[in-house]
Amino acid sequence: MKRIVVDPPVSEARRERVERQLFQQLAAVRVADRAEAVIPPPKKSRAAMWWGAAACAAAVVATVLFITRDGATGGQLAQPSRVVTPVDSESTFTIGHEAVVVAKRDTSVEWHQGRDGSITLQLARGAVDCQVEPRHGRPPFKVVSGDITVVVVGTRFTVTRTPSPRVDVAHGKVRVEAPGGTWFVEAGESWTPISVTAIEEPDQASDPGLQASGPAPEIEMDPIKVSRAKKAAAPPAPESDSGRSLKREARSPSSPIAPPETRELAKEAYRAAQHLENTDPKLAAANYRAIALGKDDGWAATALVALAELDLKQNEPQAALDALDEHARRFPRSAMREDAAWFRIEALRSMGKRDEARGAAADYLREFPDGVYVKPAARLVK
Amino acid sequence: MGLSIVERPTPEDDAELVAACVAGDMAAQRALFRREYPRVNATVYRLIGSARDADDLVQETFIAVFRGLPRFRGDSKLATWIDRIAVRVVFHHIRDRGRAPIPLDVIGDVEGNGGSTDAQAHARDGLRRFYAALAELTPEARTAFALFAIDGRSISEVAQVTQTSFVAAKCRIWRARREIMKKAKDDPVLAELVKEDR
Repeated sequence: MKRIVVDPPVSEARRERVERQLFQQLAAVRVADRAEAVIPPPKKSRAAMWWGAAACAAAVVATVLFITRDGATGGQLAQPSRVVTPVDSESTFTIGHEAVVVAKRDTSVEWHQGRDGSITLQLARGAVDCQVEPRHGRPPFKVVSGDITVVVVGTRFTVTRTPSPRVDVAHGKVRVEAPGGTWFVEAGESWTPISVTAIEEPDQASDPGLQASGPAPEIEMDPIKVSRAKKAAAPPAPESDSGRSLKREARSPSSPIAPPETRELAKEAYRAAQHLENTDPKLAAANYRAIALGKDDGWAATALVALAELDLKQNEPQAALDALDEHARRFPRSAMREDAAWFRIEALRSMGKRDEARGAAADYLREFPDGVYVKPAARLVK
Repeated sequence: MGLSIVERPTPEDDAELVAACVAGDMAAQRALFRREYPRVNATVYRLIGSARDADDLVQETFIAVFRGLPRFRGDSKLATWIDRIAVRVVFHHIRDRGRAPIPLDVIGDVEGNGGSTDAQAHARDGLRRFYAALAELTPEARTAFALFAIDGRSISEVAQVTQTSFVAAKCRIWRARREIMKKAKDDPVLAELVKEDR
């Protein structure tokens, strides 16, 4: 069998995107590691060891007595326990008869039981999949992931901290407490704060309806059901299910984000648009268009090229060409010129304009003789 | 052919770079990423055939690389060690995903297709069928065969990065090849792609 030649897609923009996301994730992991590192280990001394041994013996005696009296509740631990999983495997553990927890790959999670019987999982990194008994009258069960707290109403859900915070509910209902509000997330729904910044911040300036109702979390699965349990200061929404109306407004391409005012906002919005590409390409495109109208030329140029790439993925070559024309007109010296030139060739090919694509490829070779697309461009010219 | 490393690093370079990365030198980490990215990206993409998944898996690979660097003893070349991690990450992805449908963004060019748009479309169709046939194989056979037939590695290199014996790697490749050729008998587009060299 001959060698099957598959050329990987080579794009400086793609490499930069991967690099940026990678180092953001690494920074998040380092922060989590540092947080773990600053927890002082217990000091060991001979006296403490003796006291510890005595305490253990007392605990064993107490446990044995307790089991003898009521064997059903003897398995609960009061001391914090930490579970750390390696990069390539998961670990399943049970917490008394209350929960079965799967710590996903590369996860660090610590759990402890309060005096009142409440159970708290502290997620330092990674993700946990929890199956919890319904809490009818039982002590609370919480998962804390950074500044996000998930309180179980019942019964099965996944909390992810790295690479990005996320809550997925398989059965029952949980309450998510995060900066900016509290949300109930029900079976079949997901919650992530990733796009809140991008949708919320520019909207505060432009969309009074959204501004009045406060930030909306990104709910990725349909049917969209979000009820807001807190936010008493916010005025009542026109519908009883305010999250639902918020979601519709936020997702509609006719109400994109406002053009970002600063470079930081543009960067955040760009990052959010990238995340949205897979889940909601129309909203991602609307966000790219808004960034293109922003004050930061660098991000505006990048957003136009990203928009063209997205249009190509969506099989809309004419829209891609429009974005590329605008890019060429407004940013003739943009750093994204090379990628833009290649996407133009791709768009023309998709439209079946072979001669124009060949001409564009020849232009590309003249302008970027050492470019990353030289090989496929040369093939086209031939 | 196929691999795009411009400069082959010396072990001394590797040792210095690794030491700087472990010490937390961000510039060194970025340098390592930029040096290794083209090869890792190419290998990951060739193994799964989807640019979208490839980006995620490349990120996952480098996160594992940077977290594992303090444990890198230098017994093998750094590039080989990174390739092993990349292959392991892709292997887990393939195994977890099962026989999911093949993504439509599989692109690529086939040698000697003449460069016309029709030929390109035909070649892409062949590649889609090829990746669909690969998806029917066991993750072990698929990984070994893709490394051999698409990424252009020798059997001993395949054995090295999949951490199996030479014989095991050879058997996996042989079995995978047999299955692919069996499918090619009923599929002229696939047959044209995988036809034997004369």
